[in-house]
Amino acid sequence: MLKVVDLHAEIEGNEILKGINLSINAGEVHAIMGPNGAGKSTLSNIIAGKEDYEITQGDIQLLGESILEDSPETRAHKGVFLSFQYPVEIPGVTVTNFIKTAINQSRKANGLAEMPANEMLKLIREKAEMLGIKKDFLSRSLNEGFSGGEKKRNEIFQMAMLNPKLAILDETDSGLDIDALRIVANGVNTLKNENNAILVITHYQRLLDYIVPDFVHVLADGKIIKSGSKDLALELEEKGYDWLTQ
Amino acid sequence: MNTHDTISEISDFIQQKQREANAAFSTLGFPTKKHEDWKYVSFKAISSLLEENQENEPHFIDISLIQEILQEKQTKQNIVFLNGNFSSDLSTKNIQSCSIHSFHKSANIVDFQRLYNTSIDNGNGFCLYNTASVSEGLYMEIESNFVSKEPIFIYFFHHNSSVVQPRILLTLGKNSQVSCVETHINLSNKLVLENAVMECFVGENAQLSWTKIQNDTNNSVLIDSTFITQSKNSTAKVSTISTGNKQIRNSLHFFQKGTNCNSILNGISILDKEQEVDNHTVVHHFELNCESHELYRGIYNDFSHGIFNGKVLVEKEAQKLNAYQQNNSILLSENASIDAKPQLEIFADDVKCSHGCTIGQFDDDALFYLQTRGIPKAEAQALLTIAFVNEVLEQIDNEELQSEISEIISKKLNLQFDL
Repeated sequence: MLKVVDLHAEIEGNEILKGINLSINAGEVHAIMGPNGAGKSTLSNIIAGKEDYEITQGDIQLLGESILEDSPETRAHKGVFLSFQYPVEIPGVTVTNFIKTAINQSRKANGLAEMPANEMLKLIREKAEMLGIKKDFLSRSLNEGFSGGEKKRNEIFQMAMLNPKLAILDETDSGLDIDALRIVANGVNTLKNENNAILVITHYQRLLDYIVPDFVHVLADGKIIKSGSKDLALELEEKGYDWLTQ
Repeated sequence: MNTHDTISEISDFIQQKQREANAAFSTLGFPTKKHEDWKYVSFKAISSLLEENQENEPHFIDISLIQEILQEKQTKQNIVFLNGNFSSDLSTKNIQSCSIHSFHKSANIVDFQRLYNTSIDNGNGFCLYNTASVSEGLYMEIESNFVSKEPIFIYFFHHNSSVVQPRILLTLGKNSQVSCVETHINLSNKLVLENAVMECFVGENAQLSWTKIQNDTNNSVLIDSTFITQSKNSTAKVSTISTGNKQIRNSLHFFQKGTNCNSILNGISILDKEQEVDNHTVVHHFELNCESHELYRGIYNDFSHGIFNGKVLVEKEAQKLNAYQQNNSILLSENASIDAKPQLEIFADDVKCSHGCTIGQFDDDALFYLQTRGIPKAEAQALLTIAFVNEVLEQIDNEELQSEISEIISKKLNLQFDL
């Protein structure tokens, strides 16, 4: 599904990623953990297409094709989704209309007609119910005045609606209480299937109790310094990161 | 007094005002860039139109075309101006509790003489020019205690003219409430200068909501001077939505002549190409316990130019005042520019006055967020524009009007979808 090959990236002359290699197959859940400032968010932003960074070496491939030259929206149309740590507030645009637009933009880019209104409505209802989202929430302005938990839930709602091939969840657990975390994780687990892949970026192990990864990678100082099974996350929780970086 | 005498008396009165204005104008002339209040304005188009106007002939307007447009608009209470003159024929007859007459046929001659031309800025050559050349002005009186449900729509049509000069005198009786919406439509491809003046007197405890939709063609230059005088316990709101026209100058003056007045000034400017909008506002506080709220938001693309000059004057008696002013601008292109100047002159000591002025760009992270959801950059920018002006838009009370303005904005931004 996703292949990151010897990826080097810098911003304003500072090298942040120093040769990342990562291969994620369909049906897999990968977690990237690491200390603050390791480059975790940079990696997820670069996969989603943020333009602030300069890629000096390497490649990112989705389903065998390089996406390095694609704009963020084109990557989205090809099935990449990034859930934000801090989603942006858009007053005056409702959650429903925003998601309708996003879906139809992707359909348009993929040569499909707009989704019929009744089908859209059914899908919205189904996904909202799965995530315990109430009807009035859908007619509120996107993220405006949302609590941290509501914002995250809304991110997963959008993910559910857009049905991406690769979903990157950047610090999705931050700002969530345990009940909200459970609902969000259940949502992600329901969406997981043989044809998609999930990359979870997290500082703490807590989220991985709910979204169980097949592989865990440790990112430190712009490189993946260790990979392992889900047990690695538990070990990190116990010992911290220092023993790996020293 | 019989009708004939009334008409001749009012004609004499208007002519007297014309002569006075003419005399003052011949000394003062039109403002130039040397005047502080006009120093950022481009005069190129204005000057050439004023010159051309010397040999201006009245032009034929296709009435059936106007009737067609009005039918399409589906608005029920219409007031129509043609080339700067009020047309009673095309205006709706019998708007409830509202007396509508041309100046010369005014029924309430006493009030007309008491109020006409008393609140304008005689230091503004454009106002004098309007007074000097006024022919069929509109005198509109809202009855006391009348609360209108439907807005009154005022349409200014122009066709093949160089300079048109509409004039309105509006009075709101005690406890009345009315909402008016003005729209300007250039029917020809001829460049026109519209030099509009309105005086409005808001009675005790009355509420005025006036919406200026400035979305005329690129062949129109609008110079608007609006003067609103408020009596005690009244509220007056003017919302100025500028998306069209080649160039717009708004001089908006509020005079709070009673206690417990509230003045609300809202503005949205969305400009591109070489458009220019100049918002000059003055809120003059004279009395105790008053409020004013001013919020202007502007987005400037391409080579467009915005000007904001917001003056708040607080007289010694205007204690316990709460005056708030905010002006936020976003520049979308390196060639777009804004000149912003808040001005506070305060002579009272127990007042709360605040102003905020920001100029910036859209947040890259916000754009990136929308793009990751598959929304192309241009549309993402349009969505952020909507978000930016939404706070102003929300203050338009009438839902239908709010969605009409949303539509105008979406169209301006080439936005393809519902909000």
